[in-house]
Amino acid sequence: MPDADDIMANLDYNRDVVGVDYDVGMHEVTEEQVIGFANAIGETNPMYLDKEFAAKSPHGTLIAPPAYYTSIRLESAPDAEVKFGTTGFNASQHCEFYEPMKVGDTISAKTQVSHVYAKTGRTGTMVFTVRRTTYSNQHGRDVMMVESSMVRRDMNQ
Amino acid sequence: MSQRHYGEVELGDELGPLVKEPTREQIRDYVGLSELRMGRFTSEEAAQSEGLRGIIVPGNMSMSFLSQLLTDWAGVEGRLSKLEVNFRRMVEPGDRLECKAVVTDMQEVEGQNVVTLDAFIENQKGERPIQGIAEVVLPS
Repeated sequence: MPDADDIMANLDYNRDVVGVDYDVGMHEVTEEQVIGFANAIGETNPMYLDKEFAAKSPHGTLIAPPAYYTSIRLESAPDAEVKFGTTGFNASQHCEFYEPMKVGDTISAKTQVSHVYAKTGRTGTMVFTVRRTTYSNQHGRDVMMVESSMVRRDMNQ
Repeated sequence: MSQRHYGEVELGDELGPLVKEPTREQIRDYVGLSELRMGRFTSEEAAQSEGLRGIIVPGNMSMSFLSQLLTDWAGVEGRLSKLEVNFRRMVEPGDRLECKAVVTDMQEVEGQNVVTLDAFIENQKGERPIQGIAEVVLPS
């Protein structure tokens, strides 16, 4: 079996995009989407669901649950287009939350492929693509950052 | 909602379980809102064409369940400041998921009360499809 270094040396992927930031659009945080997301997850927290309660909270309005970012549709950015294996899966999400997204906020996002690497383990070789996406609000403050890692592997191994 | 304070927390405190049994309908609602466009979450045929047994629950949806456990615990004045999860196994509709966490560290960092937790989801087979670390900031 080839080791991870051999795989990386010969891996077919777009090296030009690694480390380059791309703007991937804006998102209006709406009451409809916050409540829709909260209901889809089964949230019961009134800060996400009850306008009157939220108005009296320190935030003054409905806020979005931290994982709300997973419901934000971003424009597509150039991808590393790793040619390896038969399929890809979410391997990890590393999130830092600095302040909540609130209803009425306009969120802008930028993203970059920060890292592509291979790892060989008991189940064969896997290739990981790590993407870092930063979300900021209309005040220019970063509200969160997520590093998501996608793994490609051969399901027939 | 009652508010939890830093002084009430002790190392080893356990959170949960918050039990979730995601159905195909709930997955469809979540996928409909999210940026996911992959058929493996909504079509048995598409999932099987990728070598899966059938539809799977999006990893981000399971992570959202874990986030709920942590933010419910943090209360209105607390907040989830960090969540790092690894997706180790597939989650399928009908699985019984228990979201849990254990307090592993408590520190005052730059004037904030930071509680570190091991956070994970256990399925009905006792496996942990999602395992991670979280940080929650609590009021004094």
